[in-house]
Amino acid sequence: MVFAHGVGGAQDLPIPAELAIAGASAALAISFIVLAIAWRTPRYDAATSGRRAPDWLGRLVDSPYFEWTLRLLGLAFFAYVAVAAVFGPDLLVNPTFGVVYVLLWVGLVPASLLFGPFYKAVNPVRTLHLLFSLLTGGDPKRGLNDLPRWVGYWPAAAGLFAFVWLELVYPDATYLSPIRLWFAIYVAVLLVGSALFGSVWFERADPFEVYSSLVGHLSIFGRREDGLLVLRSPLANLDAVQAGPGLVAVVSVLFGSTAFDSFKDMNAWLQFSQTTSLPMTWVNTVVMLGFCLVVGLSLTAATVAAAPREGVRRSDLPALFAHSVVPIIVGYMVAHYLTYFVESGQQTLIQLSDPLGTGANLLGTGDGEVNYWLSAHPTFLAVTKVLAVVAGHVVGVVAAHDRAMKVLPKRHQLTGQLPLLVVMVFYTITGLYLLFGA
Amino acid sequence: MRRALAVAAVAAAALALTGCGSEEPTVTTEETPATSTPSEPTASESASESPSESPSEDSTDDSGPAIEIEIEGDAIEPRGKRIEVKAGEPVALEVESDRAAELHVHSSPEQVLDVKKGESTMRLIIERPGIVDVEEHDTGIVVFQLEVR
Repeated sequence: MVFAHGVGGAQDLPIPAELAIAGASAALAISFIVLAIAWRTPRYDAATSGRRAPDWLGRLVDSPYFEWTLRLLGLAFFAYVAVAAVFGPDLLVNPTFGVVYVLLWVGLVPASLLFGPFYKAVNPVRTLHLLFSLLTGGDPKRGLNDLPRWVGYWPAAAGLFAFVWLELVYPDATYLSPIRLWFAIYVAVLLVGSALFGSVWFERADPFEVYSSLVGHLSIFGRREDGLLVLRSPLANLDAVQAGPGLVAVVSVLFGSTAFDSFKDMNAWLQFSQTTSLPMTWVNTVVMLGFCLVVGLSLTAATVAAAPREGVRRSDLPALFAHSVVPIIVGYMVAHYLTYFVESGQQTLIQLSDPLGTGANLLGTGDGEVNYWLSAHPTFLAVTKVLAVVAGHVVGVVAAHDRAMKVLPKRHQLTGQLPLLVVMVFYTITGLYLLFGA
Repeated sequence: MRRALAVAAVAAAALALTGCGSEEPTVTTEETPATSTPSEPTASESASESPSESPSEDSTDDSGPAIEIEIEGDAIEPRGKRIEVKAGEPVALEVESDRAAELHVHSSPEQVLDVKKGESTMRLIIERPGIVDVEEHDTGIVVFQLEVR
């Protein structure tokens, strides 16, 4: 039978129990070792850390040619996929699905880990905003009003939730019209918002840009406040995440939704969802929201438990520590999506050659075949996943420790970070349990 | 996400069958007997009233696990049951159905099994380790999951 269009296909095997337990023990042990022996004065300071990037690199990255090459490539790719989404067949041969759910949503993690705020550089809507500003002669940075401070990252958190809801809950996520509608609203919200508030809107409201820029803080490329390009360790880079209202919500949605995705792949949940008479879309919406709330509330509770140092408001503490959850998220994303990204990603690259389902081979990738090496080596895969989760946990704990040195008073520095440490261990062990139980 | 994407993948691919007949088949399902013997009736799909497996094809069928599936309209048994099998090992599906149905096997790449009304036995081989959902197309019910090791 002719049948060569699957995206997705088989899921990963659960990780073996011994590996899950080894990972959990390692995470637990390392957490307390960090607490016991790590430095007692803050070590990472985003304003001063890092080495100046080589001149040629700084010149290249800051040159308008480089910037506009990336911008126009991003815009061209967006247009290419938009044509497929509008004129292509409403079948899974259409590359739109793979581009949205694999290349964009999952691919922005490795791209940002390697290159920093990758999506910001290619963001097609940002480019449209820049082009409009050029046409009208306005300053792209300025809108009609200033964005109120309390808005913070809340729009991005809402956008992220809307996206994961489309991806993980909405039953018709793999039909074109919901995707077209979602992205039409996305573009509209960003264009109107950026006209109102200037380009800062993208840094606060674009779910992909906010996500990518957060993960980009785990790359080695950073900028000081004056814009100087520096190379620094991911830990030092992570310190530069700007805390603000809604940042806790952003990390909660990212982590909670991914955990929910693992959870709903568990066999027990499958059996429940197939035998219940409850409306599963609503059940899934509530459960996913619940996962996000658990992350957000536990992070908030664990961080406001400590009294801050003078000059730091207690209510700001959750946002000040939210950056330390980012490495945990990234480690878990690697574990959760590695096979999916590698294998469905290849499938998507193949499909991209034939955006309209006409048998075309525009990019020359159409004759490719998917390499399933990763699926065929489940032990390697399982070890990689556990290592990713543990590595993310370690980086997160160290980042939290350094921040505690900065914002907690001397006498509370160790006890004050205990609750958060416990919560992080809980995140990691839950993550490992979900990888084991799926 | 993977499941949702895969579900639609199969649905879409099934719809697309007529539209892309020129593509190379990549199915790894081995229905017994092989379709290369067109003169004989396809035992796997028309072995009505004969609960035993296809006689001619091979004797290894008995070694692998067998799964009984009952389809009565929209009622399907089992639902979401998980079964452990070995990669490359044939799994016998013993189906009793009161209607024609399509089983979508969400392996990588995907496979489709056509179920005819009556009793039939089909053979399924999954090449690589992973969790593979087998879904009845009309109802969207995941009949069982193979935990392939």
